[in-house]
Amino acid sequence: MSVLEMPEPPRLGFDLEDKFGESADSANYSVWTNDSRLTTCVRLHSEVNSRISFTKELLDFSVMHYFSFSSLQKWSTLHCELNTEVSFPREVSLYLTRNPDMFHPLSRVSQIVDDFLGEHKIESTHSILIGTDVEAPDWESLVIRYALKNVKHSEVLRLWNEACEKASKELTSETAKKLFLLFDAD
Amino acid sequence: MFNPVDFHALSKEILTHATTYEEALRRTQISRCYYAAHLVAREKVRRYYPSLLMDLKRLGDEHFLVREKLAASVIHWGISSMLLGLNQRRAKADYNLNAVVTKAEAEKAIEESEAIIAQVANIKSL
Repeated sequence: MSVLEMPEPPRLGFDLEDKFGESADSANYSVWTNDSRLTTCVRLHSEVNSRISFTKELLDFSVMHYFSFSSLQKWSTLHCELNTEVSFPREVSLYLTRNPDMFHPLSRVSQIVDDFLGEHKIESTHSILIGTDVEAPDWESLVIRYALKNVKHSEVLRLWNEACEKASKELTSETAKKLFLLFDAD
Repeated sequence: MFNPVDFHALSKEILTHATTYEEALRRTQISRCYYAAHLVAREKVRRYYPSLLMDLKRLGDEHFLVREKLAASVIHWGISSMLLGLNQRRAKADYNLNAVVTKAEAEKAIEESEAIIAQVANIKSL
């Protein structure tokens, strides 16, 4: 298992800092990867680590906005580990290790599209993969591909546009170039 | 100047043609549909960024440069995603001899190309 220190705190870090900055003295963030699993690790150091309400509040906030905790341990510092609970193909995990700024957009876009399709009561399956281009062998990107069941292709296109419009709000000029959303009729 | 939308029109027109070479026809349709969409998008991007596609070391790089420029605007990220989707259909149609390319895939490519061309036409700024 290797540890890659993030070059800068990810969005998750900013969000946690906004919410808990007054309670925690400091925070650091890292991404762990071992082949097909990728874990974001957040460590909050706090003088007030005995405050149960702080721990509970952090847990509730993180579960609501991000992923489920694989563990929540309290030491002399508070150590919270967030686990994606998603198994990525090895190349996706490696891409995220090289591009840690994409971890948050990937999870947010997936969540938004899942919710969007759920609202429309559309059954679907999705996969996360690396997009390539036969014309440009060095180019690669993250791709989230959804297969929609029992939907005509013309309707797929309409939903695709709408989902892109919603999900794009989570992207910046830089992250939008490294993540693409594909829809197809199953 | 050649209008790349004609590639799309041709793909639609030959959809109804009976031929001995049905799969070759479907593969050609998908490929032309992609190029219709890509070239229309490329010309739109070129209008706003005239130097972006000049003097490329590899001509093929223009495909991802067009997608990235559309994506970077964020508001046109959806068009960029659709272009990549059609690009992947085209890669299968042009290069993968083991795959079977169906009529349904050719019809999807025609719809996707049409949607991309229409959306690119509506781009007011990049």
